[in-house]
Amino acid sequence: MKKHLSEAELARDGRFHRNKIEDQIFDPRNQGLGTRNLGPAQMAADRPAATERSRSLMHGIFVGEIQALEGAGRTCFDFDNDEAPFALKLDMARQCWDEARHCEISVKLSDHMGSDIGEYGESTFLFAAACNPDPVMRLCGVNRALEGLAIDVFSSMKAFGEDSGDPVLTFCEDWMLADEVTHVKMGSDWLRRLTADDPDRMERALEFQHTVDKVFNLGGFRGESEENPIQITRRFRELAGFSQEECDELAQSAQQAMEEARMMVEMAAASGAQ
Amino acid sequence: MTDDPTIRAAFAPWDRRELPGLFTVEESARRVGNYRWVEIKLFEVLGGWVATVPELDVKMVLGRHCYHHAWHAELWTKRLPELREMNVERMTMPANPELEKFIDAVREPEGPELTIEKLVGVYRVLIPRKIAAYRYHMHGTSQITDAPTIRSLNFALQDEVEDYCEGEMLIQSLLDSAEKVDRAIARQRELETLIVAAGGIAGPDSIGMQPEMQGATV
Amino acid sequence: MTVTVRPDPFILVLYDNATVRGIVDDVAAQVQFPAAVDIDLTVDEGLPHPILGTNADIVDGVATLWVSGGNFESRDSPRAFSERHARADITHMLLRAKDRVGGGFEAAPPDSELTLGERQAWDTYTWGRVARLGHNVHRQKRLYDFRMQHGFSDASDAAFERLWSAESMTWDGVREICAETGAVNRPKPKTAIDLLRQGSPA
Repeated sequence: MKKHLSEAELARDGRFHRNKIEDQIFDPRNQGLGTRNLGPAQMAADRPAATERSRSLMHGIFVGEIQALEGAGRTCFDFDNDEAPFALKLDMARQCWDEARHCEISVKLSDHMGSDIGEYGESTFLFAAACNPDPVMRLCGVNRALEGLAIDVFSSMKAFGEDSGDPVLTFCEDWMLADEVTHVKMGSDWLRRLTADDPDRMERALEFQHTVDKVFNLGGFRGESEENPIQITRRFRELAGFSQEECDELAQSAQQAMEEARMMVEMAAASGAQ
Repeated sequence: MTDDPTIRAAFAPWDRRELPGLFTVEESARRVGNYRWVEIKLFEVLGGWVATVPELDVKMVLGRHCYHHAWHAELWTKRLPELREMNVERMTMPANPELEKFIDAVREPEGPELTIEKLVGVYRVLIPRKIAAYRYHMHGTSQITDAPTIRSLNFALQDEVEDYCEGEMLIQSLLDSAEKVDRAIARQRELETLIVAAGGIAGPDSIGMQPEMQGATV
Repeated sequence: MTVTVRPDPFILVLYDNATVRGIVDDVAAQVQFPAAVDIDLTVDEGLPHPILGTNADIVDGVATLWVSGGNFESRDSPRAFSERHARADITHMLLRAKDRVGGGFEAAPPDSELTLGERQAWDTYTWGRVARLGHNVHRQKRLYDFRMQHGFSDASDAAFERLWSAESMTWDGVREICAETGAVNRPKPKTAIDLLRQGSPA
């Protein structure tokens, strides 16, 4: 079996369908959507289309967990002992188990919320971030950036569960959140150990991590204001090894992304008016 | 004999553990090194296969089982220095070139249409051989001097047997036509031939079927 | 009965006005919608899935229906039309409009003045009927929607069962259920219940 699988080769059964990124970017409805009031950005029981939007997000989490499982599994296989020591691969195998469990939990949660496997499209840029041939880059992209995002998403979903009085959602999100803190910590710890004698490598890895972080800040998806659907969860990030400076930097990047999105909407509206 | 009631036999009457065992320290270490090598190769490929199998339940089972074998490798990582082998990597090796060839063949299938071949290799050939070798070691080694190895073998066997059952059930659920049965049989035959040439995961004496046995008996 | 579907033509999505009109005609016949009441359906093609919503009012004697374009959208293919979803949602809207005309909901306020609990109870009663008309309605999905506004409790689930299996219901019946589940005691939502329709282009 070859090493380093691409996202196009991810195996799926017939229920799943892949979203094409160009369909999302070039959707002619985007321009109008930016200027409309669709209700509060954060999930709440009284938000317009609350349940369908949360089902859609839950399905996104589910396919994200599948890709996280696949990414951790590939890290076990893709690297020799010189590139990734046994102890690192042991941690990745542990992450495989955790992500498999998260897939199981997500399936049960989707049943609870009334959606079916494959009901919504799948984007594979999560696995794409895991495809880096350098194990340190991969750890930063996956374990620090993407699992860090998972901390933010699960924390927001847990808050939604509490707000809507859904004990099942609250319970499940909290358990998954605990695991994600572990995964991010694995990334933080291994980054330090593998780059202890190579500060350049650490810097490149952190740059890659920031690039991945920015992808998920796009359009103001994440941030610290009420306008962001997903809230940056500083407390759990710090438990997982992020410094306060790193959290501040993420928040600033998120704020910048939101402002850029706002500017683009204003420009599009202005050109439409002309 | 005094009347001191605290004087008791060192071994309670129900403790029938025997001192003699089939393996010396070195022989136990050799086997444990072989086991470690196999567990590492297995967990790596189970992790690698997750992305290549389209069946959702198989994906999740492989993810879970991946960790089981990685953890077994960790048990053996910890045991080797206790068997006087401080350089763990030196002892981590295939029992012989034939076993390496067998494991390469187990790990070879890649395409999404080869789930049956992947699972048969692991759950109908490799894991049953591991169960056999682990049980032989557990029963054959000294229950007193090699107790830590027995303890680790017990933990590993609990997973191996559970995983074997789960894997076998997955295979049975996938074999829904004569054509698929033929594929499973062909795959099993191919791999059984290879592991017979190797003797087992610890070589020809994996389950004690060699006429001369290593080590001293007491 | 005159059926009007807007927009004509669709520009932002790959829907066909005549197809949608044909479905409205079919469903109106199936649910025995009063022939004397005209139907005016607006599809807000600017809204994608999962931003869903429907409204069904009687305005000046006309069944005035509004639906998010996302409701009719294929889940596999963005902007493509899903006849299955369209039929189910049009059935839902016409049943509610028919309720307003002579189905026990004549006294119900317009959709913009309903509480979330009242709306969800009415929807549940309607989805049960849509399912019995042969549509493949996802019951658990509707249960989750109901629980979101009425609580995750045995009382709420029992109320859902009654509404789902009811062959007839009244506006007073819906209000009683909301009192029973405690939905009446919920705080006022931060946004208008028909916020999406309000933002629809003229």
